[in-house]
Amino acid sequence: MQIPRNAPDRDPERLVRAYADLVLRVCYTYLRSTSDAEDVCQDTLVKLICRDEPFRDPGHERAWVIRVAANACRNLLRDRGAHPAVGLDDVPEPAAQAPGEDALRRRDDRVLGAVMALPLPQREAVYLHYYEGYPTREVARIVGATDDAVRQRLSRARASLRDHLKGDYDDFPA
Amino acid sequence: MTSPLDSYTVSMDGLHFSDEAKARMAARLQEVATARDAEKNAQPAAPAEVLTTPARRPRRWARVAAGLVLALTLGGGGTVAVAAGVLPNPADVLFDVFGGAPAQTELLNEVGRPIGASATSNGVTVTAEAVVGDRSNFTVVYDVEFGDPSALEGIEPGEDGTLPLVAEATRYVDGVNGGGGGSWFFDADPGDGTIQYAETMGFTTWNGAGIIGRTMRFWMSEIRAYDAEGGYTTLVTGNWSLKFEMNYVDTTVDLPAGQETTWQGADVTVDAVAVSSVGVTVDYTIDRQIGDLGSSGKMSDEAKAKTEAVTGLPVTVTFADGTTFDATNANTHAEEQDDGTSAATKTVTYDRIVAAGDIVSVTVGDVEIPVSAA
Repeated sequence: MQIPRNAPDRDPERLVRAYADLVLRVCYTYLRSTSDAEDVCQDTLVKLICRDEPFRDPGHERAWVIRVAANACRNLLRDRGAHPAVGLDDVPEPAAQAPGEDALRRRDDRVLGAVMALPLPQREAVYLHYYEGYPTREVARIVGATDDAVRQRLSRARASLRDHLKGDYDDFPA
Repeated sequence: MTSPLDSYTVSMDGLHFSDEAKARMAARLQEVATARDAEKNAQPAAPAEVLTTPARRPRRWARVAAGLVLALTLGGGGTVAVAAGVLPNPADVLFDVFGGAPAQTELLNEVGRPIGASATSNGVTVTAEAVVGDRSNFTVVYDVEFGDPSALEGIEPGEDGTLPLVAEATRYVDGVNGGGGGSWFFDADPGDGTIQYAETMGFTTWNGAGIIGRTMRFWMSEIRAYDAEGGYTTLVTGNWSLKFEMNYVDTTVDLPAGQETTWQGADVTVDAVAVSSVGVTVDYTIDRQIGDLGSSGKMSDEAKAKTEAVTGLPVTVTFADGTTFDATNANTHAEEQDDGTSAATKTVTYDRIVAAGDIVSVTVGDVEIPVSAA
């Protein structure tokens, strides 16, 4: 098997450094909780280490990590659907250590709460597009949807957030 | 004023693992990476781990990634899948693997355990139905349910009852350092859109503590259908990821050890022998090493002979009804020691399930070890 010149190495410390927090955020986005994140992260990175095929480049690897972690979260959600241990409509836990003064932090928490209250497809699209910075066609590839569908989800998410956060912001993206 | 999506970014930036958690994960991953490297490097030099097919039951023997170890000790963070719905009777699931008399049905229900962990991808649901095993060996049966049963049209069992299908699957049990076994598909109830996938594996563990109670992680990505000419088509691809605990009744009995014998002129010491309702495990030290086998690839006759001289020690289990089980071709793992000897472990499940009391003896080389002596 030929290894691409840009194929990243699989040093465990690098993998944890590069992806642990990423997987934590994926878990939080999907599960509205971080309690399973270490387990999901461990599973994802073990799969990466055990994967025989090399990645084309770091971007390929990163997208693969997100997809595998997201699939793991979906499986957890499905299992919980059969045996719900945590109510998915519970108020999401606040993000830890949000910086800023109290007012700003309260506002950040309100925004986070509003994002986390979105339906999963919209939440997922917001996370990948606005936080991870993927263009919509890449988001579509990662989540297995069409570009149009992702754009629609983002549009609905923005509309919903605009409605929920009315008055807090004056420069909400259209 | 900032955008709300800037606030969102700030909040998400605040989510991160502690340094301790990262160090813990990196250490565990290092164990996996080290074990995987060792396995890759060992392939040309240690064909003792190459598995062979016993004649008793046609199976497609697959090498298990030796040393895929992950000693997860998560504090409440575990996500071991739990059963959904009504769990099956182990015997109903495992009967087609072990077959046989009604007494075996009773025994299977007694020592086997239902699982019920499940994953769905691309319209196909894979469910780990039941497990039976001992300290080193296990058999798991998975149901593979096709949402579109027409995908199975034309897939007919061969003379041995197995379906001409092969799974691209990986599994590991926390804490193992080597092992292997066989897998095969069968159809317990033709026409119901569900087929069964069985895996029978034997593992050695770092500290000999065994696999019971450990977490099993199973991934499958593809099922291929083979034709008579050896060509294949992909039946389905997907991402099935299951995790469950290896909880079942351990019927392992340790037999007296320390006996001396010889194999092909080399001194052998029997270090440990364990039998159970489902399998046998023999540890021995032999005063010989496989050594350099040359370049990787197809083994030469000389290389095969050198391997056989270490791993070929005959092992036979004798049952109360007078029948025997030849465990010589069991999954064998050999490690070279500094003193010129090799420490080897053979472990394998039988082609049947038996009450522990129905095992009469285990013969290692020319030494017969009665089970009643345990």
